[in-house]
Amino acid sequence: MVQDRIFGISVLIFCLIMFMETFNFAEKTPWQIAGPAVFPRFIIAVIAVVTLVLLIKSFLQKSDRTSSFSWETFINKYGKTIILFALFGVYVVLLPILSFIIATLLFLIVGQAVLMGLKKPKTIVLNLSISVIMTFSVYLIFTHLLNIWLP
Amino acid sequence: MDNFFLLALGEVLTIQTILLIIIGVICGIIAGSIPGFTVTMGIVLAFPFTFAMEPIQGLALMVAIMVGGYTGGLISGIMLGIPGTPSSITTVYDGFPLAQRGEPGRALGVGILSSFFGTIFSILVLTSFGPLVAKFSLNFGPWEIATLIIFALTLVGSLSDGAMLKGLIAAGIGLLIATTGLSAGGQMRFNFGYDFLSNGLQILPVLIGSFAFSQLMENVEKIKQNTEQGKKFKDINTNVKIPYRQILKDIWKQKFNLLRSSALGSTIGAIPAVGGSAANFVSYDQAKKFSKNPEAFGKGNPAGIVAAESSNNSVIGGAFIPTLTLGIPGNMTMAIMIGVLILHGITPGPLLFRDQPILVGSIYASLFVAAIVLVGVMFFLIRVFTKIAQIPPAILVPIVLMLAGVGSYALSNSMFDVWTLFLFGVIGYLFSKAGVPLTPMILGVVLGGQLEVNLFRALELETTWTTFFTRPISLTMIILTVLSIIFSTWQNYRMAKKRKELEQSEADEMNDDDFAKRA
Repeated sequence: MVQDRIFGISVLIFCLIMFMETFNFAEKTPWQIAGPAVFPRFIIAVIAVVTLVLLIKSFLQKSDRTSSFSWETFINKYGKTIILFALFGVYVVLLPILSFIIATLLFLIVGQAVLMGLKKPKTIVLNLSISVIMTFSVYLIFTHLLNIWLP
Repeated sequence: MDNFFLLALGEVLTIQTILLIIIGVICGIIAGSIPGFTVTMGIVLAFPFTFAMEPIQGLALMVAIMVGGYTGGLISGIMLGIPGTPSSITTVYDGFPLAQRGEPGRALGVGILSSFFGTIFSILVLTSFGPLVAKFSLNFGPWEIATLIIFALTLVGSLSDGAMLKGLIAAGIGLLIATTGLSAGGQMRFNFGYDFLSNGLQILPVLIGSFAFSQLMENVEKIKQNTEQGKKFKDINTNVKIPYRQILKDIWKQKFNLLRSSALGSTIGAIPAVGGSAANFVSYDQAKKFSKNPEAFGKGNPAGIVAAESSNNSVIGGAFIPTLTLGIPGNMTMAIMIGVLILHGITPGPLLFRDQPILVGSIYASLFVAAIVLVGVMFFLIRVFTKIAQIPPAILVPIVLMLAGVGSYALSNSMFDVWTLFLFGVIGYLFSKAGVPLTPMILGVVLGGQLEVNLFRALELETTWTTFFTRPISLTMIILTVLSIIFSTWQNYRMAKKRKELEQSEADEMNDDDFAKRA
């Protein structure tokens, strides 16, 4: 139920921010039946009400589990996920700087290395060959077959 | 009607399009056969490639992936006992035991043929009911469309995983995301004073980010388990012979089962929020109930495979009905399909059948050609597919992430879309960890613009809200909306009660044991 509370509170904060922003919208024009803020505000109100119900429910329910949190199990389970998210973030930053081919090669090689490890020579060869083949074939398909320009 | 189907068939039967269909079916089968990857993932991967294509070709590719994807799940299901997709779970029940008994070829063959018939059946359903629904919905005014969207959203929100409140919140957040950027009246909304936000968030990066990242990361978290599966794969004998005569006999014996399961699949496919996996379970259950010897199920009965595989493929045609006729996608796959259609400047809805009959016809034709290609490809390449299903997620996850990024970039050659993808990747992942269903959010994003426009158009035409309650179809939708909320509240309550009773009885048993020990 802790999850529900964190989720509920984040959603309420989000609603508040969005609601404040609706005051920066332009006024409604005379031919409009309602201003641009009406629909978003209505949606925000609905979300807020449902979220409040969820929050109240989460406090009413007794959580019988005593959650024992340890960093070790957390890292064990989510470590690779967090690294992969970070890698993708770095990839997006580097894409316009390093060009598609270099950035993608780096991303694929490091990404597979994180997931497969670098212990066996076989996996390293596999990793490198797949990265090179994928990068160049995607580049060629997009730029030559589909005429889509990549950075 | 026949004429436009022939025209469309002519359009599809070009070398280029047929080639795309073959590629699509193969990619779909691969996506479906790798455990942890789904049909939707195949669609996600294919979408950037459709940008530069003609709409008909793009659609043909996507349709082919769906046909292949719903079938591919049977390979790992039968050979390994691990369903390749959630929609082939019940295929395992009988497929795996039959393969274990030394008849993997029979199990695969029956599965492939059932998938073929399921697809063909669903084309019949789509071609006969699609135009009817479209004609009927031509009379819909903004009141009907608005209430229909609200009904679809609450249905999806309340049906998803028993988490009704979170589902509804997710739907609301999706609707709110859809309001970013320029409003229909031309006013800027939610740009927070920044220029780069003034175009609003694009549908496809939001959709793909939230879906693909959460699914892929789940695979990463299960990587240990998957490597063990991989080891199991290596012991599998991929040298399978298919006993053609035997399968035809099996299928003929199960003709009623085949029809019933296909009909169930198509019907279930047409309902928003429930898809392949529900069809799979319901049809299997029904086949068992109607069978003369239900005890044979689960022990390698071909009838079980027939029910499971025909129903999940027949979902496709059913799912296309609300998507094409009303513009309401029932699931993630269809939501992406709508995103792609909109990208090509085609708005799905009642007018589509009238204005773009050839495009609609080309979907039928592509489904048909894909079904035929499916049988050929499966029978010829089954050994190859069994091997490909062994590709570990460690290799696939980075590649899929990269393709999602490239696809988002290619949308409008802007890095902003890639950042949107990443942001929603994080949000989608956190949501799925918090038990918040993603489909309602996606549907909210896709349908938000339509909902707002139609609500206000209704009020422009008649300034009173009461019209929503006086028009019969609109009123029906409102009643259905309320009923769906009441029903799922009641169901949640019942489930919670049952769980409590179960816990109570377990506790009682423990006490009894204690008591017995002490005595």
